Amino acid sequence: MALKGTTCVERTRIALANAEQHRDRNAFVELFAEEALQRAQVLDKKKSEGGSLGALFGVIVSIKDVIAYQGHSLTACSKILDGFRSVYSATVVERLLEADAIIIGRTNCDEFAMGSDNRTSIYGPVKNAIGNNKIPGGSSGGAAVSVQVGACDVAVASDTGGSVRQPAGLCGVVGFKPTYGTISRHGLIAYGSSFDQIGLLGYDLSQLEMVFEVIKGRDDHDATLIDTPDHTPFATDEPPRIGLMQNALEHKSLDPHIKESIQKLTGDLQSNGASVETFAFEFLDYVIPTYYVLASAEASSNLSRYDGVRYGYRAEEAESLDDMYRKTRTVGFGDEVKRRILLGTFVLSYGYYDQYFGKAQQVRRLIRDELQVQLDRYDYLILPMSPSVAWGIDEVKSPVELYLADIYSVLANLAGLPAMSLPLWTNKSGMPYGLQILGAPFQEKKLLFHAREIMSSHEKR
Amino acid sequence: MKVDEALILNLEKLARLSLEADERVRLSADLEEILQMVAKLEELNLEGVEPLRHMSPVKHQVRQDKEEAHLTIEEALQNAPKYDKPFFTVPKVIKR
Repeated sequence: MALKGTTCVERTRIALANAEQHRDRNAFVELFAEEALQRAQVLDKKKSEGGSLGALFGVIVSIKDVIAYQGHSLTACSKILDGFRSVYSATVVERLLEADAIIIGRTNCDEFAMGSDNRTSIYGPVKNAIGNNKIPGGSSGGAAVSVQVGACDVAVASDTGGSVRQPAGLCGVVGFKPTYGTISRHGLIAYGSSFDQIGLLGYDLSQLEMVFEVIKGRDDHDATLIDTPDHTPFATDEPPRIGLMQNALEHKSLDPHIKESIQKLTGDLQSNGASVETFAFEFLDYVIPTYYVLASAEASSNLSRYDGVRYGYRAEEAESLDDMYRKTRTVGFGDEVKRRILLGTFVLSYGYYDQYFGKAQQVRRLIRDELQVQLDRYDYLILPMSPSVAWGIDEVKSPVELYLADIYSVLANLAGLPAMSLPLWTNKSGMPYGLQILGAPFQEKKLLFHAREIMSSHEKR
Repeated sequence: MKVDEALILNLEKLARLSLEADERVRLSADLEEILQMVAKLEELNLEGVEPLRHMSPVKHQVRQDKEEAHLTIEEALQNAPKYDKPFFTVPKVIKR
């Protein structure tokens, strides 16, 4: 539901009441209730006194529990960061506050953002606000549900292999991951550094675009950022040229209803004048192996800093320094995190490096180059967001089964591309599923323009 | 790829983990299943393909080498499980 209300205080009260009313969904690990209300009062006062208002004046935002906010707890939903308080704010948080946004709370997620259904959090699973006992997707499940229940306008989260877009699709909200290197990762807890990107969830495309404009751009604390040339609004009367990834639609894991919906949509787009061509992406079955080798390798390196020395949890009664490291990490990390650390350690270890890590880096180049060829041909690419709708919270799935569900989402991260999940459909039981669109690097404005076009033409039908 | 006990024990050592026996059995089986899935990469002919190591299209933008405000000692120790200002303390490393 979209947030109503006129003054900042009124809107903040409504957002907090919505969050409280849906507490059983477990979307938030902490609400900054008092602080948010105080800030809302200050903002209302500023407005009534005719002060100059920031670009995000009164926009209510939730932040995923992997984004640092000075003076506030930050745990990546892991025991190993038990009791940690941020000593500085992430660049995105600083920019949100400078632009007069209101931060309402920290959202639940998979431990260290590793997961596809938000069941690995130390705070327990998040429940989708739609359906009975369904997962919200992950890792940003709490972020998606914070939007669903009207506890914020926009949720700020992170997307390493689909963690913004996949839950957005399964919860019926918009998910937006910009190009790698667009938004500063300073103050974002690192998982896979060549994949990690801040992304946004919400209902209103214009609002998402406004937040994007505020938080993007050069930052001295993230060397991967480049100045995006793409500042001016994008508009065109030309009918779009769309590339449909045909073998993604034919994939054995895809729910036939999702395939039908996408086919119907592309038919509608064609009758509106768009040109839709199909293409086959020959590396589709290699994206999951490539992603899990590389992301786990980077994770095993990034998570080596959690050793119990400088912050977070430390195991008591260690006999030596090494014993302290080992006990701390064994107790502090959950199963999925350990699995990825072990996999990453393996693929980087002596004798296996070339066979796994080196090879995956080569395949990554093939994947990126092939997608670039298609993006030179088309304005954007269409593919499913997820192979299925949200599954049951108690449904047992093996790690590999869960990894395979990321087949459509990791592409954008492997190639560093901007991508969106658009909430177009629900199945017979009312469970949402999304359409995924992929654009050329640093062409966010163009992608948002086409997203708007797709959503408005879909609503008219 | 078989994940036997020698392999998992070596990975634990490298990753500074000490799994419980039942956890070791479970995670070894998971790892074996994952490596089986990953083995698909063997199918591709990758001769002459340069590994993709950096995602940015441009050279990394480093900031100017000038002094800036950093964390104070108090801030740096604020999250430490154990400290003796201005040091972090850990179990004894040098044995007598």
